[in-house]
Amino acid sequence: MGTALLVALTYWVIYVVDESFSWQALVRPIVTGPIVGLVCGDVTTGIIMGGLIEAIYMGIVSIGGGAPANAFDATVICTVFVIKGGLSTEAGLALALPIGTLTARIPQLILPIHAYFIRIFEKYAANGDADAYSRLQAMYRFVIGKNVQVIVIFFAIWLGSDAVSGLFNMLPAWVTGGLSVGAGMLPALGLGILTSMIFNKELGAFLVLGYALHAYLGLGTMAVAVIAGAIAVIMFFSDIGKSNNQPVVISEEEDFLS
Amino acid sequence: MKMTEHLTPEEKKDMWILWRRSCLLNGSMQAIKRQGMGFTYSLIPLLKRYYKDDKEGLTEALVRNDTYINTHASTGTFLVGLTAALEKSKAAGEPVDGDTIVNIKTSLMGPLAGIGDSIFHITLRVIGAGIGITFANQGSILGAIIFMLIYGGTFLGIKYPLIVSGYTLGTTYLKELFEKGWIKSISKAASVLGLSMVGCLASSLIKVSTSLVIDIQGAEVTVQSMFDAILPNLLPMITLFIVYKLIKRKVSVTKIVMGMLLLGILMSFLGIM
Repeated sequence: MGTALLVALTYWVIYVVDESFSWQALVRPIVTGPIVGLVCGDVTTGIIMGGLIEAIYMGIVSIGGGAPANAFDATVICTVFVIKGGLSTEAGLALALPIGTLTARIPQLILPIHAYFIRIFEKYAANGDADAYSRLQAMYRFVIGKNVQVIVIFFAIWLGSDAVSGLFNMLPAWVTGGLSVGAGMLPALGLGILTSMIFNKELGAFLVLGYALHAYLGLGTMAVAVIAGAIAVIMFFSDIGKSNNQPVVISEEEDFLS
Repeated sequence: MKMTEHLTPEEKKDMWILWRRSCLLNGSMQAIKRQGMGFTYSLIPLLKRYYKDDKEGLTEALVRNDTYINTHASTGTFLVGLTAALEKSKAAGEPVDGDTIVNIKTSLMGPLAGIGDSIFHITLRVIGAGIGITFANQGSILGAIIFMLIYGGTFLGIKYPLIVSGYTLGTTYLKELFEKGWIKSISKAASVLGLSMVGCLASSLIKVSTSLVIDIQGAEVTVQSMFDAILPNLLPMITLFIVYKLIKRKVSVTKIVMGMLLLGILMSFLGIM
């Protein structure tokens, strides 16, 4: 239990320091491994485990944030299992991907907590209370952040590897599957809020254009930005050409272009 | 530094405030507004000064920025600088439209995230880790240090020039356009970009599909393949439309989140999704 407590605390500190720079650097296996190794009294094994797990996770790129597996949690748990639990390096490594995939679900489970705090943020903004807003954001990583994960890490290490996989296998498939389905819909929320702010009937069809460019042609955000940007420029110039025909404006326009 | 020549000493200080505060861009990261709160937090000291005697203006600025933004924590700081400049112009009474600020943010966040992901997550992280792993396999701590220098160092280093260039763009070129009275045309153009981007993001980020199989005269047809053939990603767009309507009706975010998770479990239980 002492180890579990110490490791959970280490996990929390690494996360908080890393998040203080929005870095995603200290939480990479190659850096986390040695730190966990140091805490558990075997730096060399920590370094080696970190390197091996980094090699697995290096290719898993989380474009747009939605990571399919959590490298940080996996590194901490697997490294401790190898150093303290007497697991072989290979066995620890084999666990890295399943554990990372399981813990990557946690953010979906605690989303209602985030939703609650988002409303507090919104209330502060609507009241013009900038200082309270700042304070909450500055504290967020300490008081909410990954605290649920800290508890999960603590129990995972305390109870050992068998208990962890047993616990997750107990959940029926439709619960875990259902959470994934729900999580798939979530981006609609942020985008829906955004749409409610910028939508207007006159230009609403451009929403369809952006959709079609991705859905039919498979273009990414960069390509859509370039195409929509070109249309925006055309519209801009035809627009100012229509509204202002005075010579003064035209000369100003030439100044801008030259 | 040459690129800060045109900035007053006070503005130079502001740039460092933005640098320091934008370090918490991911500080309250979640799936609903992503970095929305971190972004607002970055601007707050400047907003408070810009809207010093204008409580209403400050409130509007907070609400305006406290919205969905998903960008890269390093390259996305360009937007922090740009938005600061636009808010400054707006606070000074120049004809900068609030919706236009949101639209400019929305249209640039994706491309900047794309650039950031390819520079940092794909290139520098893989190079750093690739070199680092060789050392780590021999049990050398140099691996971690090299990784931190190649990936972590550049991550923080590139932010300052990006903030300054975003701010400069906002205070010079964009301001010039606003001053010429082309606000309507600019916000129209910004809407075109913003809406196209939301359409593209909705299609790529929202993941809704059905595993329903129907029986047509003995032949099994998966419903999703019919969608894919006619209107791919139709379900994500319908989801966006429903959520948009719910938000217009002022249904709370918490309720929508719970609804989505419960709907997911229900659909999964019934074998529809």
